[in-house]
Amino acid sequence: MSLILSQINKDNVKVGKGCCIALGVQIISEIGEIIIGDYTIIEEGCLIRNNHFKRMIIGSYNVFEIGCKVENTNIGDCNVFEMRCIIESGCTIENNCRFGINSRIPSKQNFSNFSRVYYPFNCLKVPQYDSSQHKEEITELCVALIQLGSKK
Amino acid sequence: MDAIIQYDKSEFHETSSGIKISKKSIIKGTEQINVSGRCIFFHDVILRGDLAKVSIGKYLVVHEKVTLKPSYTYGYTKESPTKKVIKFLPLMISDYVEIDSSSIIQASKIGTCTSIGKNCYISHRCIIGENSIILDDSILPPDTVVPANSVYGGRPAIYIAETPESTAIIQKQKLINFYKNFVPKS
Repeated sequence: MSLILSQINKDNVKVGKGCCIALGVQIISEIGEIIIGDYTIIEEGCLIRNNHFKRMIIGSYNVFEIGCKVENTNIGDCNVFEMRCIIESGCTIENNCRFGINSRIPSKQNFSNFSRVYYPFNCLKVPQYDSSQHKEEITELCVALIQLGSKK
Repeated sequence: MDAIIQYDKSEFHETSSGIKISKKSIIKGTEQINVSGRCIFFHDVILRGDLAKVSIGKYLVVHEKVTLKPSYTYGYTKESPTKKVIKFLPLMISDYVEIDSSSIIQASKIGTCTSIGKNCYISHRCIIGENSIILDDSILPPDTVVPANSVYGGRPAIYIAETPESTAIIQKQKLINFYKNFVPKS
């Protein structure tokens, strides 16, 4: 159902169906839980950490590219976090956002739907679009990755 | 150029064809990885060979914390000749390449005698020509084609200068000397 290549503490971290978690990923949930939705892709070297008592909820169809660091933020659906972006604690991110390569976001920022962030911290808003194509592409990628991972 | 670097023998594997791999690096899918010989992989290198074929030339030096990962496109395959499907492209790295620390490489082809700087982000499906230099902290957007004998840098990376004709010989000598001077502690 899902492809998990690195070691995760399965008591505190719940992963949905069709997820692809690559090598070298650290998902650290010290006190509160982390819940990850369906068909998310977490690539190499990412760090997802929850320091609070509350749950941390990450939605479906998200892409975390190589080297991201996310702490204590609730994330919606269909977001893309490009390479090496750092999101500090206390933010909330809604749906369909995109964070560019190497962007750094300080703590306690809120991003509503369809916002784009470019290096270092420029933020734009984009007119609304239908995110069904994004969802199709990511389900295809997840299915291809799971097939390759289970071949051996 | 003549500094001797000594390493702890317990931290590196060495194969018969002269490949020195750190024990802290993560390499997956070794059946599809072809290395010609005499390469050095420092620690915290991630190399994914399970997605597509990876073919590496000789005298490659990969510094710390580099990720090498094949990229993907949408194309036609034998199994589905009419509908576009995800295909993973093979990663081809030629001889005499140096990749400096903390870079992320998802290119499809890297030419001979190139050097890639620190903290570079080379996105999907890039093609890097021979004898070229990519400066530190540069970001190459997806699908860029870097021509031969050029210097690229910046965010996003643009053409900056032309490399002199001696870069091939200098790069070859530099990497052959680096491999000779990388010696275990006695």
